[in-house]
Amino acid sequence: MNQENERSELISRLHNSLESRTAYIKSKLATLVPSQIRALRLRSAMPRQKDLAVAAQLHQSRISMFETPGMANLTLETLAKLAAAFKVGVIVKFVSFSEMLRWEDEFSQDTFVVPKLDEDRAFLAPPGVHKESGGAMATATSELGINGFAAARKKGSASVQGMGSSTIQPYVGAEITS
Amino acid sequence: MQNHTKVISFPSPTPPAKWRFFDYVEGGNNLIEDWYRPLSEEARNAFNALLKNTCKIELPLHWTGFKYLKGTPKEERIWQLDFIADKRQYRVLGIFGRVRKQAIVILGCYHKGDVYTPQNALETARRRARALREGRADEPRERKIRTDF
Repeated sequence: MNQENERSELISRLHNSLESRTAYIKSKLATLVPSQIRALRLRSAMPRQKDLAVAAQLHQSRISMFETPGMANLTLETLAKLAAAFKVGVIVKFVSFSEMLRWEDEFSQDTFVVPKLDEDRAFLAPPGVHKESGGAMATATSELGINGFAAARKKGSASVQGMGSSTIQPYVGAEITS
Repeated sequence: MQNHTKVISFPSPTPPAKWRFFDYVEGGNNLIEDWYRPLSEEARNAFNALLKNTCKIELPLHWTGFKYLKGTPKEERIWQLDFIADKRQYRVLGIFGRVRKQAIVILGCYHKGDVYTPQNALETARRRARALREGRADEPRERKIRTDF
């Protein structure tokens, strides 16, 4: 079967069958999510699975499963835990088939790098914050330092909210829209 | 007056070459395609997506689901790629070719508990790996990695 016929057949199956669409989507997710987890782990300060397991408060056997294509049905809860352990964010977004394919085509485990929270200037000190909110959050960040800021957030919402919601809102919004 | 300005042009960075996957052929039959064709659509998609991602990863030790089979002598190292589809654990066994970035798939099978299906999968894989190394096997056929066109 030539490439053109294969393509038309695939498109026809995707049009007509829920099972085909599910299998197609699953194959991308089941490969690219484990590949991202592996890439993040290998580049992190916890390149051994057991160190990541400790950081994410998960069993080591589960880390191994998450890195095997198709092995685990990752819940959003687990994804959040892994992202938190890596100190990165995670988004789950519904997209068109073409966008999903572009993601797969362009993804490379070897070049997949995500800035960690400590390095994420756009999040820690977005340029708009100084202008729009008088820099209260940026000041808080610089005064507390990164760890201090994290500690303030950990300590409970009170210390962060104490700065006033007008300070918090633009800061959060800036990240969401960027 | 002569212009002695030296123009140094740097080549634009090109992505590293991808791995190429080859199928084991015996008696003129592509045995990997024979294994692949009757698989479910989910398993075929999963296998294609796996190869498509794997071929871009430089170091085999970084491939997802990759490991060397235990108990194989170093010079006969057989690797295994794991993936799950249809709630089944698939195993793809292979060896590296003599040419850089050439991986030869020698067998596809299932695995449950400690049991491979077909049961003689490992023996068969070892036999095929030996045949390839000793130059007795047919020329492996390059596998076209389905890239969704």
